[in-house]
Amino acid sequence: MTCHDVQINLSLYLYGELEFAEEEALEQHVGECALCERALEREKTWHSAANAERTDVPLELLADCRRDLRSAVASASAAGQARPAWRRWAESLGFSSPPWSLRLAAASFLVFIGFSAARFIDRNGLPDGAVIGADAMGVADPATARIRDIEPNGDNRVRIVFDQQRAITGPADNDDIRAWLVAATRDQNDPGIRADSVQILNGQAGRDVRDALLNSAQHDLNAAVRLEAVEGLRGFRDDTATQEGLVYVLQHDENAGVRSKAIDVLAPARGTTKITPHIADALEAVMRSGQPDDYVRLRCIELLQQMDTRVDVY
Amino acid sequence: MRFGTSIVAVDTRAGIIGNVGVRGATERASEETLIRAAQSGDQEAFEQLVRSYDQQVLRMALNLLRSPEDARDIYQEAFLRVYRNLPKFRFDCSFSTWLYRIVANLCLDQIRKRKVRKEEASAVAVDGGQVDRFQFVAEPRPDVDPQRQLMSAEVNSRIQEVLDRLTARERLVFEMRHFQGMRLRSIGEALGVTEEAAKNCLFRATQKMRAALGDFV
Repeated sequence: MTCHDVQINLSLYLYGELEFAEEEALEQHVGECALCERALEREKTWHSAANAERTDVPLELLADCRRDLRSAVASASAAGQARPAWRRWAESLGFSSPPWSLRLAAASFLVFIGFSAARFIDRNGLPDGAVIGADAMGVADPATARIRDIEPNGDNRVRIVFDQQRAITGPADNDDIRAWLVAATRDQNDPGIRADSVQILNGQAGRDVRDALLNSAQHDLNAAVRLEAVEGLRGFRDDTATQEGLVYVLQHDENAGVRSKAIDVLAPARGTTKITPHIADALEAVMRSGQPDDYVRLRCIELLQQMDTRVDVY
Repeated sequence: MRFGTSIVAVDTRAGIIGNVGVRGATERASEETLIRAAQSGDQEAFEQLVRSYDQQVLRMALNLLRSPEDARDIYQEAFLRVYRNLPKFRFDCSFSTWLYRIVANLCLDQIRKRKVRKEEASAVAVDGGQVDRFQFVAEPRPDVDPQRQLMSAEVNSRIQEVLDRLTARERLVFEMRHFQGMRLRSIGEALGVTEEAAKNCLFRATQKMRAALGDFV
């Protein structure tokens, strides 16, 4: 592989889109060629820089889109229901307007199937052990249930373990409901669910609530959820674990809004916060690391002044 | 759902974690169950299906069009087409391929209709006011020095210029590969072209990017 071959394939290499042999050849060449090694570094740099162009989805916009879609689907569904059932069925098979010959053939086929099935059951009865009717009804709809496990029992019977769609309703501060809400704060798929659960948990007491909010404040991928969680920690701000979590947010969160909210919660404008020397040390570390936000710096200084700490060096 | 004292807990959601097109067998089976339920008229199943993909669809439309209003239109139109045509979906390809084909065509049409420029307002109209969409763009880390931040801002501005200069198809392929993390094979399927054609398109896009940035990085 020549330098030219390597350099025009660098992006495909970084995307993991080269064949195995090409990848091996490229890596071998880069290992031996300083020029191509630098080119690879430059390629990595612009790939990382391009990532900054990625726009996160605003939760409000997502919520608006979902709401609009729901009403549009409801309208489309109402319009669809106005048509006869047979026509909707035919359309679902891809026939917008079946010709007469096809309609006649379909009707004849259905009559034949019904007649044959009735004769078969009349002569042979149902297979042994088949559960049809009350035993199977009311348990779940197989089309929507999520199957977790299937265990053959060896005697031609089978045990199917599935999850069923269920709903629970209750006061937000009920222990069971709260346990669901805490679990929902860790939903990996839907930031909307996480934001909803964090907001409902805000203002509630309990160590499980605090831990869930701390986890969301420090680790949630979505800035809006982190912001909501930091706000929720206001009620726990005299707690050392919460203060440590807020300092972590000040040090590590990439979003200026979240960092500002964290210092607001830690050091309210009117009132005092009881912070330990350990937290004061952590705040000093935040200042030393070159805190870029003037607002956060000012509020940190105020808080440290409350502790009678030397702040003139910042 | 917004807030109240009621919560609906549904545990049959078909989750999607990671890249499109890299779904495990269990997820695929679960998704197929959802699709079949939605085909039989189950609105809840359709909604779960939408929620599995809608953030990626919206992000892609936002990235490509840089206009929340247009992204909203794409979202609405794409999922309405899915809803209307779902009964005809025969599992000849994966659902994500089918969905992305719809979204890609809508976005291509929109990009070709008008040239999307940076001077568009950055405000996103949402219920209860406006939100600046740049607040959702990743910020530089607080511990990065100012000189480097300035350089980084310049590089990002150049990248944006290059993105705007790409052809509609190059822009789309770059978006799907770089930002959405889709494999070239899936991109080809979604665009109705061969994997090789998608690769060439991506190749041209990255060449332009490299040429424009030169020794800047």
